[in-house]
Amino acid sequence: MSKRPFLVVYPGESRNSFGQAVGHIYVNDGPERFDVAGGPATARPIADIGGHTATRTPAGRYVLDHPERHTTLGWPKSVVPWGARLREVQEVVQYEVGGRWIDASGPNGTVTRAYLIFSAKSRQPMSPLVASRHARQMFYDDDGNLAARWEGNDFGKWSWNLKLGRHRTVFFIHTTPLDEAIGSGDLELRQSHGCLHIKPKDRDIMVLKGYLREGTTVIVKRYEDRWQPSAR
Amino acid sequence: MAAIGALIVALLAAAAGRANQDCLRIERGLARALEMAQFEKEPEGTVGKVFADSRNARQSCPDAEGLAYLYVRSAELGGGALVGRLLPAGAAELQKITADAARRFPSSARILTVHARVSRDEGAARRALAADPVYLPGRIALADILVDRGDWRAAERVLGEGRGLDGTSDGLLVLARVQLAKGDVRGALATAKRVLTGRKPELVEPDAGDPRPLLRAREVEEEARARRRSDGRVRP
Repeated sequence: MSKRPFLVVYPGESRNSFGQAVGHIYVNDGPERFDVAGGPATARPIADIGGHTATRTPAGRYVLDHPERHTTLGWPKSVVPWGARLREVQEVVQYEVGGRWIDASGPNGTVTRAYLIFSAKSRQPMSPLVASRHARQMFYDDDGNLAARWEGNDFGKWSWNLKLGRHRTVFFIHTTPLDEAIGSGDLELRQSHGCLHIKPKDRDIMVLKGYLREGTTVIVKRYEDRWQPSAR
Repeated sequence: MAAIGALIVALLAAAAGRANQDCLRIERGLARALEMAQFEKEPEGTVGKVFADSRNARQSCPDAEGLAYLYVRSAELGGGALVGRLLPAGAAELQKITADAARRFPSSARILTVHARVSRDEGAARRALAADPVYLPGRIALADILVDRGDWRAAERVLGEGRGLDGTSDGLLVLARVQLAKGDVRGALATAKRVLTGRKPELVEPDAGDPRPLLRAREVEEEARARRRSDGRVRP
């Protein structure tokens, strides 16, 4: 019987062209590895918009939660699940979840609400009318066409929460919408605000090989740590 | 012969028109993306894309002022590095980018303004103001530089009545700096607080959630508080 794979993350062992600390995920502590980018390497968290902070991905021993189309009211673009179908009814954009159509924009829209929360936390409060306008515009392209499906969720197509013990944390492994759009092309990972960013192509391989799945242990090393082949 | 000449001219004009349309289309898309970046979890990706795409578009759209502006503004915002941080290549590269654009578009108030902020060049700020006297970020950039030089009176004149400052990334911050420089500690404290609570969500210039005005406002707040404490200890 083969042992269940585990992943070891060295978030600061190399640099991208922006001079940012990036690193690798080692399968079973190497040598098979994939690119990863964690949060900024600064010792202190950096104040960020929307009442959030950008911070190092903390070292620790985590367990992956189930794969999910993550949604949150904390970020306006992350309210609607990745891939959800869209439509417009009487100038209100709606999205479909489990066969139910939900208002995204308009006075009762979930994205409208997220804009209101975000702008209040950013201390740049906006009126419900402006929030609704932003919420509606978000789903239209430059030529004024409504997208058929939502592919702008900040957490990418799939994400896995890094659980500490049985508790979920604010950290996820995920791709970004821009990287998803580039797809299998040549792309360079950019530092996150604390989550672990991976490439869409690597995500697909890691899922296929059973590395990214519920229950996988993920050990995040310190930014100063470097993988050693002899350490095994 | 004349008819052929006219036909060639017409074809060239049509081709130029199409190229302009393409440039405008690229510009519109990038401008929209940069405006929306402030609501993204990680705006660096969008800022980096705007930076790269506007840089690449310079080849096919050399006369597009709007694209040049997006290029310098996204560079000022970090060009894909954490927003508010320097370009990976550093301050010298950023200054070169804005100086080149300012030379190429000498009557663009918004490009001159970015250059003035990046290089702290009073001349560039004054040229921006001359190019468009009602462009608020230009006034603010000049006032900011004047405060640095210790001339808060001139800075106050440039800011005028302070209308619309809450619709800019750093207008209220600069007003707070002017107030502190002239000794209006209470006013500086109140204005610095407004930077943290009273800015509009839609700004004249897209700022992708640039944290610098907020961080600088906190510094002004701290300095104003320290000054108030030390003033309180003075015994005549």
